[in-house]
Amino acid sequence: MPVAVQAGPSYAGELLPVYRNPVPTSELITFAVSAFVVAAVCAVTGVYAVRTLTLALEGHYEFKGDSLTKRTRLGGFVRAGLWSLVVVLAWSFFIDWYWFQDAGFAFAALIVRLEVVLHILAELGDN
Amino acid sequence: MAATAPPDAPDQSDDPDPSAGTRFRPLRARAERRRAAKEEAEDEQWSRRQFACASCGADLRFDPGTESMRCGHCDSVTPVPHVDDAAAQFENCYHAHLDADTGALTQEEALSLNCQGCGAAVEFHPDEHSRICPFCDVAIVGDARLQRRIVPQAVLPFTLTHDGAHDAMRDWLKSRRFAPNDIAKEAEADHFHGVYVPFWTYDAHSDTDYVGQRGTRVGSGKNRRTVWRKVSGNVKGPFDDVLVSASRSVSAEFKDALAPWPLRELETYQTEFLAGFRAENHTVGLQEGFAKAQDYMRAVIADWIRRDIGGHRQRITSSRTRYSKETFKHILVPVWITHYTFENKTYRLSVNGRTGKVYGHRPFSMVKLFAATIGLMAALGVAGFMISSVPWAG
Repeated sequence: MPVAVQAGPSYAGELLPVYRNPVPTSELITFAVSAFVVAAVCAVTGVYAVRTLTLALEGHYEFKGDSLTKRTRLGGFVRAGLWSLVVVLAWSFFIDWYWFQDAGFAFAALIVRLEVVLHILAELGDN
Repeated sequence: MAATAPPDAPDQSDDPDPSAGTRFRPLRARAERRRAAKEEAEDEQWSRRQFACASCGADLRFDPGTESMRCGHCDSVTPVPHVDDAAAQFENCYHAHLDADTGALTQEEALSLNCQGCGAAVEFHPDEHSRICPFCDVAIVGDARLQRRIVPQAVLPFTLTHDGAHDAMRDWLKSRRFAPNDIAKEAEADHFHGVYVPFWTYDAHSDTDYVGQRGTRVGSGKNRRTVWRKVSGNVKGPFDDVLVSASRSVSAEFKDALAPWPLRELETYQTEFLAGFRAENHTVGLQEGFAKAQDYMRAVIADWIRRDIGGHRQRITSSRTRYSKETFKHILVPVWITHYTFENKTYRLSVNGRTGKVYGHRPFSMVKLFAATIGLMAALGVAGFMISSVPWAG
């Protein structure tokens, strides 16, 4: 967790100083434990997701194209896609938390991102 | 495709008919060979599967890819008599055989018992009381019963040899992603069983009336909506050689995974092709098989209807399909089946006996999977950073 003075990139790519207050140890521990637990859950579920994605890819390239099992294989891609989405969102949450030292802000930003994702998924479903 | 006469019609009568078409001559010859075999052997069923070597009397075995049988003892070669392959492609009228309770097709009785493990109908020798199922390796014990079965009209003979199947297995294992490093070397395959698996192929012409709705998107942004308009129409089209497994021991996945089957290369059923191999009897009936084929046809027809409706979105309210010119073939396809053991676990594997295509279960290396997951998570971290608030913070 950064303390005192840190440099962070602006969206224009310039390095501007970001001033932060010293972080309480309890918050540091909360951050570390949360990050570890989420990373562990993502890694364990990721093994399953990569496994099903591998089988889906093998099926996609090796099975007959108009196979009735196509829908089953699609499940492998969907599971891997959902897992990737969860990992990306988790990363963005912890990066925000780390950078701005504010779990409340990071959570609010995550909710906004989730709304955007749900909107995109709804649009895709509508198509 | 729409022919109705059964391919084995000459088998029904012993009276030679000189006016009969030439297309039935090979079938007549086959029937005569069968009759001769009946007279010569005490056991009718098994005499059809055993051919003695003219030189030494040992059993002949069909030699994949050579159209001949080879003696395992003296290595002499006996060619398989060539018959007209037109009969192999003959389409039998579906309704005619249903109405006649399949009476017009050649049927025979075979001693067989269904496997408790996978449901396969496995043929037994009269003095056999137990056997290992070639499909799932479960011991089948019991008194085999005489079961009636429709004799296949065509067979795709093996062209891939036992060694070829073994090589295909090794290549397949080597190409598996995230498989343990030494799997191709360490996997110990049991003996490959050459098995002829029964299939039905169905042809039909479909004519479907439908009622549905065509959705057209109008507006943009938040004002975008879909306007639905009622439509109706008719789609029609043919289906050719819809393949349905006639065996309960193999899944739809198996059929699709080992496809394509070169059905144009079907040969008229001759027991010589089966010499040295196992053949499963059909356990899925003609009618049940057609119901499965219709499941496939319905899915394809739904696609046709959606295409016919057009627009941005489609809804199918109702549809009514009339099938006509329904015909079928009963065929055998060649599959090498084995099990391999890796780290005390057994995995089932099948190889297409014509193309060498492999389908099976495989182990994963947990270390490789975990490493890939961590790598993927790290890569996704970049995406996570890009959508976080940090790049926009200034």
